[in-house]
Amino acid sequence: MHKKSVVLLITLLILIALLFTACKPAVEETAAPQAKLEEVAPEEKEAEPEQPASKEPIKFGVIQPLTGPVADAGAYVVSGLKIGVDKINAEGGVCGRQLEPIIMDGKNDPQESVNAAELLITRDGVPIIMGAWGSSSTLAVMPVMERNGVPLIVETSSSGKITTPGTPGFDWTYRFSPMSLMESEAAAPYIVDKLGMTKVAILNVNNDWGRGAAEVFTNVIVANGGEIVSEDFIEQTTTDVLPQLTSIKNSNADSILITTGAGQIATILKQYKELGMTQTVLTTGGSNYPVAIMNLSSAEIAEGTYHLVFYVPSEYDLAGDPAVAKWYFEEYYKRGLPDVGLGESYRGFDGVHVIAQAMELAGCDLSPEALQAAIPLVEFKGLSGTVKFDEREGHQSRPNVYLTKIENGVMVVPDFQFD
Amino acid sequence: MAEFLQHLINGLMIGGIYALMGIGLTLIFGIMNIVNFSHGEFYMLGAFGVLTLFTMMGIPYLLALLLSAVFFLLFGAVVERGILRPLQNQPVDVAMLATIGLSIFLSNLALIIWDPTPKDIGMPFPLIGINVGPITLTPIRVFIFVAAMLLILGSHMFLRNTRFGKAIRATFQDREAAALMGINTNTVNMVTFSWGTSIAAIAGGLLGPIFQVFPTMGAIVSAKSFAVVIAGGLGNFPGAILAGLLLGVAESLGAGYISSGYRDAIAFILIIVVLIVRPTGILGKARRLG
Repeated sequence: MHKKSVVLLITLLILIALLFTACKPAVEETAAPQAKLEEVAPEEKEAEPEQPASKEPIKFGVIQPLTGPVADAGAYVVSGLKIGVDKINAEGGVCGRQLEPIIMDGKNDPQESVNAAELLITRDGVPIIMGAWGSSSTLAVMPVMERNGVPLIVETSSSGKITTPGTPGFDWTYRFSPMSLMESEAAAPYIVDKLGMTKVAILNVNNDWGRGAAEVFTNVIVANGGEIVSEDFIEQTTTDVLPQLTSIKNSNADSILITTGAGQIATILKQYKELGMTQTVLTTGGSNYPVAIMNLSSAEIAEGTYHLVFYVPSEYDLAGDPAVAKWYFEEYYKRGLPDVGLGESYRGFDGVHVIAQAMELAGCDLSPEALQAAIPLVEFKGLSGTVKFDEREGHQSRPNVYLTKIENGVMVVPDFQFD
Repeated sequence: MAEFLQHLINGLMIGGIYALMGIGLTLIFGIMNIVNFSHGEFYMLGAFGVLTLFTMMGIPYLLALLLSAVFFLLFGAVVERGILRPLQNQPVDVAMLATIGLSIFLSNLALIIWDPTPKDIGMPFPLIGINVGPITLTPIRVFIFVAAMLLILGSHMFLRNTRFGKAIRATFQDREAAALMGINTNTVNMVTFSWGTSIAAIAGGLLGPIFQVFPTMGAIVSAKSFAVVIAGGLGNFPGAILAGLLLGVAESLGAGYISSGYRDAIAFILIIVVLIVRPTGILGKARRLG
């Protein structure tokens, strides 16, 4: 064979190999993906009751994307989780023991998330896991949980499939982030009438989350007399959306519905501005914290856009427990954490409280079965409303959903949604 | 029609960058017989270079781009001298593996230095659409396209009209004969690799402001550069330019008219079609460089 053909053949083979791992590019070699929380300050430890036999910390698993395109969101969830863990531990821990999360990098990749879940269960023997951020990753992890009989607390994923009876792993899965359906139901009274979204172009990320959201929002828009003009799905790594936006600009769409993470929303808005578009923009999905979007584009670019969120940090009264919301807001900034992460961080805070309360409700029996039995009894007034798994056969909680708008460079909560 | 023109222009603009990435990769392959899998990481580092200089240190954008280009010229020389030259008498797959290792190393290095959070470079030009007839252009896109074309033209002139360019072309045609004529082929290798590295870094610095910057951003660009180089014919300079522009336009029209979900697949469909129809690349037998 000609030398050049050999090189071409090898190149193609390697390229194919690299493509199959494209969702998790070149981060394999990152130092141990497992990160443990710092111990709490010694004086706080001394305050605990003396129980030498059970002093060993209670471990639980966390799967979040810590590298890859949505690593920022995972880091924010983890920062909220750490605040929650520190608060619980400082107040005496759970069942007199400290909590210790074992945090694994799932990269928001289904395969990696499954590996992380297997490791957490078999290597670390955790009785409960919180994760795995994206819907596709969560759906992949669920059967693993069922096979091993370990409950999963879902903090971010929005796909309806996750809490649909019959989905593999459903019995072991409990979700407090809203389904896209709940978001769309909350937006139903105003999406067409008040926002004037009558001819809508959908531009969503191409996964279970984006596709699920497109479906339920289509139903709501159509039911309220609007219509869907076009539907585009982009990969989470896509950076150039000019082709899609050009088509939308040249259609008769009066508005764009976007479901993806803050980073990609910022990129879309930049290019929306480049084309001089004027369509109303509404983003959904809960990873669209308006401050993060402004930070990743600019206040000017994001001006006038609408965003559905589950937690409005500065409006304490909208949270499940205003006092906790106020404490959290202050503690977050006391720790010097970034503005952009606040909107997404609440998931970790509420999540660890759900886990802690389940442990207490199980009478400190930390077996996965006891926790599974206790979770439906949990009622936690947190940052995103009250977590109570009373829908979808006791597997789904209904958090708050608020419409926010970026106005003069700040996030506001328009009044008309409360009418 | 207006929409078609807009898609065409969008495609040409992004295609200019694909072409720029492609010529670097194809030059390195043509001269050094190295398939450089770290090309996408040079692109990523170029974007981080501009982020650091322009966004963090406040140096004017053009100067930041220039400084970053010069830095990566040196960086490429170091990589060539330190990693690739010692391997030049080894089988071709050894250097290939070395570049895969380098790409993993570089993206993890970026992860440590800049953390995984996507970053915004900020807009160096006002973000106002200029309407030219039915199509909308922004200063940044025009700048990116013009810069890419000037760099491609510059590379071409350098190869065509300078004494050193002649040496590079001679080395490309016949390494042994060139060495016998007194050409220092090691220097030729180093200059080629530096040049390729630097233009990949410039491409990253150019596209950075309109996208986000993060450590794994090189992966998909790397894959597309290979598509361009393979479609254009390995080592074929004009082929890479043509294939780059073609890919940009095909993606833009494909995503606009067919389905955005298949957008990234278009590059690979292009490779498959070219390999079936013209296995030597779009510009077929043209073996000369420049």
